Amino acid sequence: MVVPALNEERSVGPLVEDLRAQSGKLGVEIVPVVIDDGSTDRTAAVAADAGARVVQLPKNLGIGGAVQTGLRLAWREGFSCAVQVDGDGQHPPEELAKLLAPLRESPPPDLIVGTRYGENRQGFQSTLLRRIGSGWLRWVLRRVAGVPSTDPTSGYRLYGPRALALFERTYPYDYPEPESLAMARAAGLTILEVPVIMRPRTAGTSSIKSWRTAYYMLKVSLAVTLCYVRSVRRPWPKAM
Amino acid sequence: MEVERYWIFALCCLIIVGLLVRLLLRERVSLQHSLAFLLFMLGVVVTAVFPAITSRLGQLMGFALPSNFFFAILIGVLVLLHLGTVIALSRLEARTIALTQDLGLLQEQVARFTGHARLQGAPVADPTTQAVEAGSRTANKDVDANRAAPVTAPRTRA
Repeated sequence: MVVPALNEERSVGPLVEDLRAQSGKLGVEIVPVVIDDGSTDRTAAVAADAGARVVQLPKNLGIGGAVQTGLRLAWREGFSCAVQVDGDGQHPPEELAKLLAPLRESPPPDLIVGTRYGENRQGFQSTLLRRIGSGWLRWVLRRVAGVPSTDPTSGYRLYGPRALALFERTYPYDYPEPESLAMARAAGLTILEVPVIMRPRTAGTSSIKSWRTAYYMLKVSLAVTLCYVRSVRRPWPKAM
Repeated sequence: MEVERYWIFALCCLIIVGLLVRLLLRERVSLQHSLAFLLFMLGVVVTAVFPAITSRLGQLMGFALPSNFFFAILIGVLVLLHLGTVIALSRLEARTIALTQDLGLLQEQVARFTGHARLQGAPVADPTTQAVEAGSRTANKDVDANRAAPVTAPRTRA
């Protein structure tokens, strides 16, 4: 379990404990790894007290760099898969079973993304402006990369071995969630979406503040397009 | 009059070159990264001292005014120099990210194997008790057990 966290001292403790509790229920070994992206509060200490492994980044890298740190850890230590869970408590650990279920298929998907826009649409559904932005992003992803994603900014996702191998080498840092979908697609990975229920944030502030601006959408669209074109040309770049 | 203005321009360029040299001497910038810029500025000084070069070349390349030719070349070279800087910056950023991640991962490993961890926001322990604790942890066999865990564990792990 990779938990990127920046100043989430209030939500990270219960999250880690919930994740550990899931381990017994699901019958799989779960190792919570909190990536502390240069927090200035007690995030790292709280997470360690709750029983997580804590990787403290000496400098703030942003969500992309933090997530990739966890994926690199999982890859190096031979974990069979990694699950990204945001440190703000938006992603309920009880929904983990839904992400793990498709692993029993053969062949299992390489990337399993939890989407809050499932058929029954329960839980946190985000604001109108965010939904408009999200709609545009979905359109870009479908048009450019051919990824039929319903929730491209979802950070609740499972990375299989092939996804780990890819993202250990290269991971987008600008707008990691949508870009990584395009990247995975270009590299020939299979992507599956499963509906999950998300919660509004329990504490802290979202790192996405400029959602309203058209400029932001332009940048994301451009980044996704660039990322896809680059990945199609060189799907498996050399390791850094 | 014409010549005097050129000289003022040359003087401005020389002042910038002087600033650059001062930065170089103080090791604020490295020669490797500023050499292109330095040569460029010296080139501009040369054109200021010998304005005939600019007007002759401009004529040859079909520019109506020498100044147009001069500015076009100036902008072109500056754009290239800037592009070089952006490339270097991006490469540096990618390296910094990779190194920061490696440092974080290694620190976590070291902390697990030695039992020393100084986490942000953790209560500051009394140095004497900390030393004793560290001593007892190194003797602890748990350290080795932790180490073996990731390799021998079953396949389905998250």
